[in-house]
Amino acid sequence: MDFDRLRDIWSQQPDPSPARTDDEWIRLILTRDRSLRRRIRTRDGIELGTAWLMAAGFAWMAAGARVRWPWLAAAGIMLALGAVFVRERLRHRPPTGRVADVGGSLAQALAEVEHQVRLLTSVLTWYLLPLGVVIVLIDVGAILDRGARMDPGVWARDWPWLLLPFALVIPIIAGVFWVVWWANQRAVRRDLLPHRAELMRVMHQLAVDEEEEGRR
Amino acid sequence: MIDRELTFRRWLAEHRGILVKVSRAYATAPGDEDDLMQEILLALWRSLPSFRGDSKVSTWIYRVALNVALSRRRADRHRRDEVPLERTAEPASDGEAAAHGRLQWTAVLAALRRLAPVDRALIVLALDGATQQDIADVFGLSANAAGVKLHRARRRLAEILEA
Repeated sequence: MDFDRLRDIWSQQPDPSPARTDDEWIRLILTRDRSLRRRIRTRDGIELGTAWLMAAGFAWMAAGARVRWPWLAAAGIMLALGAVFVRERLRHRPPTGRVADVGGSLAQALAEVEHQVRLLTSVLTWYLLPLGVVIVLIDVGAILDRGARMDPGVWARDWPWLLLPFALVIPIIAGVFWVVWWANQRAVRRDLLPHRAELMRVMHQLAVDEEEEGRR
Repeated sequence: MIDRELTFRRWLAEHRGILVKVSRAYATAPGDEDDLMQEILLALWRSLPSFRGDSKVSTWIYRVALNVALSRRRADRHRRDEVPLERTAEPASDGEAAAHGRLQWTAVLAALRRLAPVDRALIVLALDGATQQDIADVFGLSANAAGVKLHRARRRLAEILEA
């Protein structure tokens, strides 16, 4: 079949409006655009608000504590975590301006996926570890504060029992963190790496032909 | 905002065929066509403020649509490109000639879906009458490179159709 015949067939596309009218499409897209923007704003607000609210809470706890340094350290880490969220959002805002050609767009998509892979594979160091340290600091702060307020004799006699609830928190938190870490690594393996491979395949297809063209 | 919406409405009315063809060519499963169309329209809506009129509207729309189609994550990798023919064929209700035309169109679509994604994009553009320069603009290639790629893609399509 020659290409002109294919073109004729292709131009007779069956019903180009199978699902929705133009008005329905426009309503759907505008609603989806607004809802996506709202969701992103809400998510960013919750992440940042929670981090900085917790920092304020720890600072307030420090003000009333006998041993202040664990609470102040925890507040500092939460402030830093909030700053990381802000930096991340500012650096990875959706691109505006001229729409890239297909080659440029694939490169952008690949860079974005690789960034996501880096974020999720290192979630332990930039997210879970600081949160873990914060939890340990709160634990230590609460223990020291309790010890400082108790009669030294009672503390010397009962300290193993008094420490038990605090010690039990650590393995529970470690379990929760392991689940979060595992879910992130699973997302990398199941979604991001295959997507990266797909993008690289398409880019390779573009590049191979260009190399051949360059050699001609 | 009103201008943006009016332009979007006009583009949709005038170039809906492009969006539907790209969605059909890159759908990975029967329900995926609608999802892809939504993603493309959303990208088109967001790209609209940056359109300065220095390229043809159709070229811009093709660029946005193919950017989405080529860089999106397939919803289900295992079912990719396996949309059965009968699912894409419209029910015959208006005569034998029309039914035959639809069958031929569906056969072309099925052949297209067997091409690699970049080849598919080149053929979709060429079938819609895009010039070598239009294809070069969409892909960010030289006109010569676009011509060579198109030639190879056409050869691969012919091989599939002859098989």
